[in-house]
Amino acid sequence: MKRSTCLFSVIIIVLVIAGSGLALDRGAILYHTSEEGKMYGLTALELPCSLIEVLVLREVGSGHVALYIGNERIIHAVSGGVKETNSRNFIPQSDLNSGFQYVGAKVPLNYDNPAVWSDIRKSQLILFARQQIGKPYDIDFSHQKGEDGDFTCVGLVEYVYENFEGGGGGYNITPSGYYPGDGTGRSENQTYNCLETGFMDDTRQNSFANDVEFSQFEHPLANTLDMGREYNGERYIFFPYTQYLQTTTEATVTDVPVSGGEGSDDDNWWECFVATAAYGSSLHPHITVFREVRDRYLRKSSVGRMFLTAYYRYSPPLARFIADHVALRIAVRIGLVPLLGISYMTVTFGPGMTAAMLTLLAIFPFLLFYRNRKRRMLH
Amino acid sequence: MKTFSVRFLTIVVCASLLCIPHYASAESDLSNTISIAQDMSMSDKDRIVAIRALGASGDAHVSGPLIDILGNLSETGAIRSSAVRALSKLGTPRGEILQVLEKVYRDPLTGNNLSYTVLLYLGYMQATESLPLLSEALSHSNSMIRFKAAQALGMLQHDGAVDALVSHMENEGDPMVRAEMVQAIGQTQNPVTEAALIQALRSDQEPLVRYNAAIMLGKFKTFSPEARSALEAARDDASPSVRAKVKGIMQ
Repeated sequence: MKRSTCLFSVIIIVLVIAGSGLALDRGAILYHTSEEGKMYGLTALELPCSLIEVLVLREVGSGHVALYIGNERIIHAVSGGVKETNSRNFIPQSDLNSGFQYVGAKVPLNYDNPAVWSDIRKSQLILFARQQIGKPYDIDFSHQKGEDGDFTCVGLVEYVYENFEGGGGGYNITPSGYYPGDGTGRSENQTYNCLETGFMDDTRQNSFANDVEFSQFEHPLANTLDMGREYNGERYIFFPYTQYLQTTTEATVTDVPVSGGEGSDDDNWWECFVATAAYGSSLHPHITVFREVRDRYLRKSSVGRMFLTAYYRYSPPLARFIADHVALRIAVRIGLVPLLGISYMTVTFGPGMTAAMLTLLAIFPFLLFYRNRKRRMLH
Repeated sequence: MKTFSVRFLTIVVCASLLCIPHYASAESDLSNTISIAQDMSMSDKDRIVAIRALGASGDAHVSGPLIDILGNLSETGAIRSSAVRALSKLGTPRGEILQVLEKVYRDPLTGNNLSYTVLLYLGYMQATESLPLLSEALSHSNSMIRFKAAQALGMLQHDGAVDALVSHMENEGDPMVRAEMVQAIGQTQNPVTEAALIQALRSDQEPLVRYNAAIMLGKFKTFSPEARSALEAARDDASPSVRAKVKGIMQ
């Protein structure tokens, strides 16, 4: 009895030590690429050159940054503003499917040294990050670091680290300033050239600034579209990979899930909820078809919007009831089959063709009945 | 005198005529912006820019479209959050805007992040009218809701807000929320808040809370004898971080 108790205690102690040693520390900075593994700086930048390209291709492959706050939660700046969400939503499943890749996690130097980074200091960092939740996203990258109360993803993380201890405190990850591009090696002027992707250093290798936040950015439409921050008549942008390159932070092991989430940021958990309740997950392929119909067609018509408003207003109690009853979930799934078929046809062939096919299908029994009746009359 | 009056009248009429196209154009611009903000076929980015512009327009007439956007459950969280910020920036009609924000917060379908945004912007609006809602939010089961409610109450800098924060401090189990409550209480400097901070510095079990109580006490322009005594005592605090912070304050 004594031996088994002792063995059990040893196992528990080993598990606790192993667990505490492996856990990603709060305050860690997470990075991922944009679609197809593109990340401005890590890979060649593919900025659109013409206005048409800009309007069609808004994604410039900047990648993304988030602050890990512990307990599998992150804080990040996205188009809806500064949000707190599950760490799995760092790279949602839909983004994984588009080739988004996890780059890694970094923490400040000596982050595991309590004399430098005490528990309270880390808590103060998280406290300050939580205070930023709800603030807006800097959609045209004109401020980035919260000067006007709005943030980009990388600007938020930089701002939190620099300011969490009030005036004079904080941790400066990237040296502040503007790199004008004066031809000094690795931080060569990062001019975008529409004919040949730029960002070449002196050795003609594709590289990226690693010693200042804002790199000069030249683009034919930069002024027209008010791209980036204006400084001395030039345009500058602070991108995630600039921060990732800094030697003020070091790589750390990521042992928490950082991908595969639903990407809802908790705000749209209820979307397609009757179907979600029936299928058990909003990631089910059938839900994707319903969502496509909603976003492509229903949202864009006044009748569709009226339907959606009524649906979202009156269906949640029904969805909750369905979710709690297994037999009902199966029944609803069977009942949704015709709707799924129509939705699939709409997404594949378009609403016009679908309507025509459904009309034919509807009048077919009548045609058959009419033909049989005519035959009987003739006989 | 008559000539002067005629000339003056002519100038006024001409000026008015010159201004009409300007006003008409401004009105048309605003209409276009409203159309973009409401158009669900547009990209989120374009709509957010338009919603932000409506908030900055200062024209109370745009509150209607913004309230419609915020109340539309088929809108994404990003669009609805933008509407919250725009309405807060617009500020008028205040009563109606606060009513809508409270309604959105209380709606069970509202997602967490939208709730956090609403609470934060009630704080920015210094909505003392929403004191009951913010006080009630301090008892919410979600600790982040309690955190954002405490942050908002701090921004109110109001006696009622301080009372709510002080009364909830004792029962608050999350140290992170208590630390935020201490920061919020310290936004207002009076004997009541000083007493609450002294109490936190002397007796809170969590070093993070005592650390923040020391910071907020340190921001008071003058130290009362009680505050000085509490800070002196904290020189021997169990936490080295608290001791170091107090040492810095006392210097």
